[in-house]
Formats: sequence, structure tokens, C-alpha cells
Amino acid sequence: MPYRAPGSSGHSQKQFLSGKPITNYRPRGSAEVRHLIDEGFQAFNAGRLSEACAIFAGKMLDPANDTTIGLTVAGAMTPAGLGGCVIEMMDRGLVDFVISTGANLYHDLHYALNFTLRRGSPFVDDRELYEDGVIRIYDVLFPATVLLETDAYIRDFIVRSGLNEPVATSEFHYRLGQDLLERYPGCEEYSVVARAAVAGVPLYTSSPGDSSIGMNIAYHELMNGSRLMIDPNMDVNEVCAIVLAGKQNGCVILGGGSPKNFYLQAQPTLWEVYGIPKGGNDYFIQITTDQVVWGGLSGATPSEAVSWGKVNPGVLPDTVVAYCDSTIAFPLFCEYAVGSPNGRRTRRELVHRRKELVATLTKEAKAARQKIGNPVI
Amino acid sequence: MTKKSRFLQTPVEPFAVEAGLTADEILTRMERISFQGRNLATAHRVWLKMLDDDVTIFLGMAGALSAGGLRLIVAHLISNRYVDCLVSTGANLYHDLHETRGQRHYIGSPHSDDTALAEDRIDRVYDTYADEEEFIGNDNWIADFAASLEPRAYTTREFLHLLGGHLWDTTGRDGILTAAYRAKVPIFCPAIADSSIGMGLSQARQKRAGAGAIDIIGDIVESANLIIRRPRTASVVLGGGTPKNFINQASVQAEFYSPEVTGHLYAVQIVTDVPHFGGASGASLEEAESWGKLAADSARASVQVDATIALPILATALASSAPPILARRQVPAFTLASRVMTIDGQTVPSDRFEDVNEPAV
Repeated sequence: MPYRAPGSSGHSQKQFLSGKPITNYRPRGSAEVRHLIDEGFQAFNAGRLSEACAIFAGKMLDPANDTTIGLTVAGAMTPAGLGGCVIEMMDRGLVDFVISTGANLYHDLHYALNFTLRRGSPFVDDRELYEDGVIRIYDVLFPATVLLETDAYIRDFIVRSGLNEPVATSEFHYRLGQDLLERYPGCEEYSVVARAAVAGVPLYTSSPGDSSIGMNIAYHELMNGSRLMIDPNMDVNEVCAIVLAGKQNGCVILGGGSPKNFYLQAQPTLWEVYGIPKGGNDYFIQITTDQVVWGGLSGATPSEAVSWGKVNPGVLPDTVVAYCDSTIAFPLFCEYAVGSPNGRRTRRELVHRRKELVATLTKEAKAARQKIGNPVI
Repeated sequence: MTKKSRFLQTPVEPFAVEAGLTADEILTRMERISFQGRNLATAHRVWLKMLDDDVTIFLGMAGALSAGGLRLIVAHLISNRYVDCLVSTGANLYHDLHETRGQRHYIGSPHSDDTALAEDRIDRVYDTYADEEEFIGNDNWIADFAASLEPRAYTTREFLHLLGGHLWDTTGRDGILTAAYRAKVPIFCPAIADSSIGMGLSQARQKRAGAGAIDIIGDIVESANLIIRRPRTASVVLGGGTPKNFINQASVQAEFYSPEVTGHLYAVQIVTDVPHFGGASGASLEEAESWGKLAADSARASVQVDATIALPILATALASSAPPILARRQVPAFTLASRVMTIDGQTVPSDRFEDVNEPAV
């Protein structure tokens, strides 16, 4: 190994990797947690989280409202063990599609491949970690070999899959999930990507090049002349088609970042680009640590989204932002939803309906063009 | 939509870089950019407005601004009467006293080995260091001074004025306490017990029976009566904390006794805290309006920024833009050296307050 490569000196990893393994916590619908959220969380951000739970379980999940629900995930949620919450929500049909950062799906693969991430401390000497070949995500620690072996798996999968053309991220992740299920039976209990393939939940990544999955796709283009690439246009149109097909639309936004924007741009794409007056979201729930005062999108309020046509102006009472770290709020939120009378819905399995939905979008978009007498552009 | 919306009146003007701009020129350009940059520029504008009106200006100061190198800015604001009354945490006055006595704070790192610092008896304030031995010396110095006073209860206003006088007599150096003493600007320190000044006062009691007594409630009576006597007020708050609340509660308290008190007519706050955690430090100025702390039509600017960034820019800009206004400004005149303070020749507390309250002192 080159000098100062991870693991090059003689220290032991043991001291850093002695913490408990991070497991995928699965919410079970605790009545005690529901009681806490209903009766104990009354003001400030506890109050906001309580409202978010009530809107989600009482309105968005109400079968009468038939809401198509998107979950957006930013921030290192799967390394923190929150994948289990997403798995449970997908299995129960409580989210219909997911937009995630690439990193969350990449780190999810570690669990499917049976690698162990461990609890640690955020106050460690990173130079020592580097010399010991230990990677740190705030207080989550794991050996650098986990990255190398996960990367190798992705590259092998791409070869096995025979994928050699532009695809949507939903297609890539679905095929990836199927490969995981085949090679690591039972991994759908630990992996969001595998569970999504089982539950038919499309997984999108708004910035596919910005993660280790994208890095390994790039490898095959450079080294093997592969024609596999991610086509973001397909993602944009599929998400628009899914949103268009929703009788009502609602989202649960964890963190913010590019997944938040990618979800919310669907309605503007429909009215602004395709001329289809779909309207905005009917429900909007966000859990974030960002703030409104810096002017960035992650911290922007649902009210600001109204001005863009992303959220319907009449529904602001059904929008809420809880200012809180998702690692605290999201497990509570999921416990509440899972334990609610609406804690299981018929899954839409949208991954199998993508073609049909995009065809509908195409038809409606063309009709809208005809209507304004400009079919050419 | 061919007709231009009424919302689109003033375009954002991209900030043009130019060598040699003065701080007030920078802030003037920042009035046409966005987010907290524009808010800071608005704060400059609001502060100029309050200087040009007949108002008593309160300055609230929380966070380690003295240790952080801002004490002479505050002293400058006091000496030149950009402000008329200071409400501070004890620590800011203490760290001011530390430097006025000829000692220093030192550049450090926020990533220090605190165990090694403790071995050398160095105290850390984020990225700033100080010598603990020198602090012990300050505590003794304060205790000796407090023990030399007639043993009775003092409002923090009276005690801090006397302390500033003693500090000026012994050092002749500029600082917050000495500037306030010389400019006859009152200082209130509502949480004086929560600082090394409080610790020094506690040691005074060991030196002399009855020494080191502070009449905290007398501060409330005096601060409210300042406003009853001169009902038009403005507040500039750095960092929130107890000073922010103290300035605001004085206004609320005064409103009980005088129909002329309407809440602050101008308000600037420079805070890093945010409203959505529910605390007073981050509370919006609109929230203060609901309490009557702010007049409904007050001019206001709330800036979310570290005061170590905002205050040097703001004070330097004011040093260019404010002098003509300062020259014609009618400042309230105080006497502070005795139990009963006066404002513009009238005693504080006022009779109106005394009708229903015990005398302040």
C-alpha cells in the first residue's frame, strides 16, 4: 500500500470499531409513542412534529384521499440506521416513491452485503482513523474495506446486468435490488434498495453522479467503453408522470437538499413546461435542521413553495415544518404512522407502472400543446 | 401576464466589487442584495433613523463580545452616544475590566486540547484564550473595591458606575466601563450574579460584613422609570440573552404606569439564534410587538449573523454616516453617582411609579 493510504500504518482498528453495530431499526407502531406524540408533544418543534404525524396518518394515509406520497431523503440516513424506517414504510405502502441522495442508497448496500457499520464518537482523531483505515460519518465508523468491497459489488453487478444503454435511476435501482435479492436472499429485511424492488417502490436519485454508485458507473464507461449511463430526463418525466397520476399529492421531506427540489419541481414542470394545470401539492411535511433565514431552498417554507405553484395555496394548514434532526424525528414519525389505523395501504407498486404513466403524461402534454396551437416546439 | 406585478418594483442590484469602498458604501450597496446581507444594510439605516429621532437608545449585549475583541467598539458607541443606556451580561463587563486593567485575551483555536489548556490554567472561550491566574487577580480587585464602598445595597447601575469610575481612576484606559463612566451612560447588568463580577462581589462579603449587596429589583424600577420619564425609546440588541429581555421588559413595565409609553419605536437585533426553537433570544421582532415591547409601526431590522461579523462593519459604517446626525442629536442627560439617578434633571424613580410601588432604594 502507498504511504498514508488508509490502513498503511500498524495501528489496530479494534479500538475504533468496538462500538455496537448499527442495525436497521424497524418501527412497530408503539401505542406509547403515539400517546407521547399526541399528548406530550404540544409546542415548539415537538408541536410541529405532532402536527406532521397527525397530517400524515390522519389525512395523507386516509384511503378516501388516495394520496400519492413521495419521500425525499437527504443527509446520511442509512448510515445512521434509519433505512429500517424506510423499509417498513415501503412494505406497508405508506410511501409510493422515494427520491434519495445517491449516498443514502450506496451506504444502504453495505447492509445488504452484510457489512457492519458501528456506533462511535464524533470526537475522535481523524488522522488516527485515516492511518487505521477507518471511515467516519460523524459518529458512525466502519472499515475502509467496506467501501472498496461495496464498489466492487456495484461494478460486478453492472457487468452481470448487461445494462448498456441510458436508463432512469429507477430502473437502475430496481435492477440493483433484484440482483441483491438473488445473491443475498433475505436482505430485503436490511436494505432499502432490496425492499424497494420487492415492494415495487421506484427509487430516484436527483444527482446520480454525486455518489459512489455514480462513481462506479463512470468506471465502466472509462475502462470498458460501457454505454450504460443515467438519463436524468427519464427521471424528470417519470416523477412528473407519477405526480400527474396522483389524485392527491403529498410529500415527506427529510433534510432538504437536491431531493427536496427534485420532488417539488414536478408540479412546475407540469404547468410551466408541459402546460398541464395539475396544481400543486396537497400535503407538505418537512423535517429539517436548516433555517429559512439564509435564503436557501433546504430551509425554504411551504409558503414560499406556494408562490412557485409547488404547493396549493388553500392547503397551507396541511403543511408543516418540524425543525429537528431527522434521526430524532423520523423514527418517531414512522412509529406513529405504522401504529395508526391507516398504518397499512395497498401498495401502488409504481415501479411496474412507469411506462404506462409516462405514456399518459406524453398524451396529456401533447394535448396541452395542441390546445395552445403550437404542436411543434 | 403582460402587466408588471406590483410586487416587482425594485430590482436586485448585483453587488459590484470596487477597491477602497468604505463600510457605509458597502452597506449602501448591500441594501440592494438579498438575505441577511440586506438585513444588515437595513440595520444600518434603522440605526441612523433612531439617531435622528428624539429617542433613548438601549444597547443590549450578550455573548462573549468583550473577550472576542469588540469591547472598544461598544466603548466607541457609548462615548459618541450612538447609545444612551447599556444592558450587558456580567461576563462582557468582566472581560472588559480584564483588558482595561492591562491584561489580554489571546488568539487560540476552537480545536484545542482542553486537557492541556487546563494543565496550563488557560481558560478557553471558543477560539480565544485567557490566563486564569489573571482572572483570580480581577476577582480580588473587584472584591477589594466593593468592600471599600459603604455597606448597603446598590443597584447594578450605581455599582457599575462607581466601578467604572474606580477603574478610570486607577488605569486611565478606554473600555466599556470607563467609557460609560466618563460619558455618564448608565449600565444595567440584570444577571450580575451570573458572572465573575458576581463572584468578586461574593468575595467582598468575606472581606467586610454587608459588602457586595446588589439590589436587582431596584434595577427594574429604575429601568422602567427611565422609560416613563422619556417614553420614546429604541433598542439595539446584540445576541439576545438576558439583556434583550431586560430592555423589553422595562418597556412593558413602563406601559403599566404611563399611557405615553408605546413600546420601542425602533428595533435592531443582531442574533444567531432563530425563532423556531421558541426561545426569547431568537424571537422575532414581530413576536415582541405582540407583547407591546415594540410599537406597531416601529422601524425594525432583524439580522441573523454573528456579532463579530456584523458589529465591526456596522460601527465603521456609522462612523462615516452618523456624525452629522450625532452633532444635532439631543441625548438624555444622566446623573449616576448616587442612590437616586436622574434623567434630564428629573429623578428616577418617578412619582407615578412610586404611587403603587415601594421606593426603589
